[in-house]
Amino acid sequence: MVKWTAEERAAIQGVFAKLDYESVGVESLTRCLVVYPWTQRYFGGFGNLYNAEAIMANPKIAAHGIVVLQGLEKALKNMDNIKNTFTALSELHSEKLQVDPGNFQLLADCLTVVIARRMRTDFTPDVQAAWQKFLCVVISALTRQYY
Amino acid sequence: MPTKGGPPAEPTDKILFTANRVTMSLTAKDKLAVKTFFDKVAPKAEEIGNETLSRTLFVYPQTKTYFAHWADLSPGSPQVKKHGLTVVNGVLNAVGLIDDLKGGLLTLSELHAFMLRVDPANFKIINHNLLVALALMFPDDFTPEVHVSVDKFLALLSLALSEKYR
Repeated sequence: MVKWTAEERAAIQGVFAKLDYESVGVESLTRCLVVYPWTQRYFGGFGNLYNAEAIMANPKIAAHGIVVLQGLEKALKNMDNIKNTFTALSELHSEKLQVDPGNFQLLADCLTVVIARRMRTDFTPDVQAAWQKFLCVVISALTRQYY
Repeated sequence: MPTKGGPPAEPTDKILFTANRVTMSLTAKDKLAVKTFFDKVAPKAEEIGNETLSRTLFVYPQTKTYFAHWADLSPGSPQVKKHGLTVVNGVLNAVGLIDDLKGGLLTLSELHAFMLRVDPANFKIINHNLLVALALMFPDDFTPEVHVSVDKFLALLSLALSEKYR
């Protein structure tokens, strides 16, 4: 059972309030696919991933960026029960998508960099700590159904 | 050839795969991106150092164990600022040594290996927080292309720092 302080909840909600799902989603995925190119193995059917510009302009990546952020929003809305909320998503990533869980950390790091870029000094160490804790819980929940 | 005792040989492709994952070398394009970007970063070294180390200590509290002798470990404290600058100056110095990181950083590696004995897992943590600091202070310059080159550079820097560990 994860315990959240009032400050942590406020910090995480604050990050989401400032998040433009469309642009943050596509930029996070783009950075992940560019900085860690081996992650492209999961996007074989997505078309042109040749360089950062192509990925940023790719409509399938844009759509998928939104899907990822909507998934995170689900965790936000169920912050006291992320583990169970993500059971089906975890099974999906494990059995159907067969994503190596190591990649969750890579995408999470890129997402953090993108948020830092946009929030700038509003992304204080306090906010970063709460956000990092949130991402750790999400990654743990997503990894849980792997066997 | 007579077989000797000892651990079984590792399959070659496993060794190569591991080596490639860790030592992805810098292309000419990477080196140029790193040098150009850090030329812009250098004047803000103190701020970047402060953000990097403050966040490392605060967001990953296990890193504080290396600084138990400091009076104040909170973000922005005088000791954090001073040491943050030392670290970033180290990174800037390494940019100048980009063609031979292992050779150029031998002494620093000995320091980290024998004196400081920092678990190399922490290099990844401080690298991540350096990227966060760079992203928030240079949002327009820290493009995906610069991001990948800097990430590769920091990974190789960490490897060079780990060289003398064992």
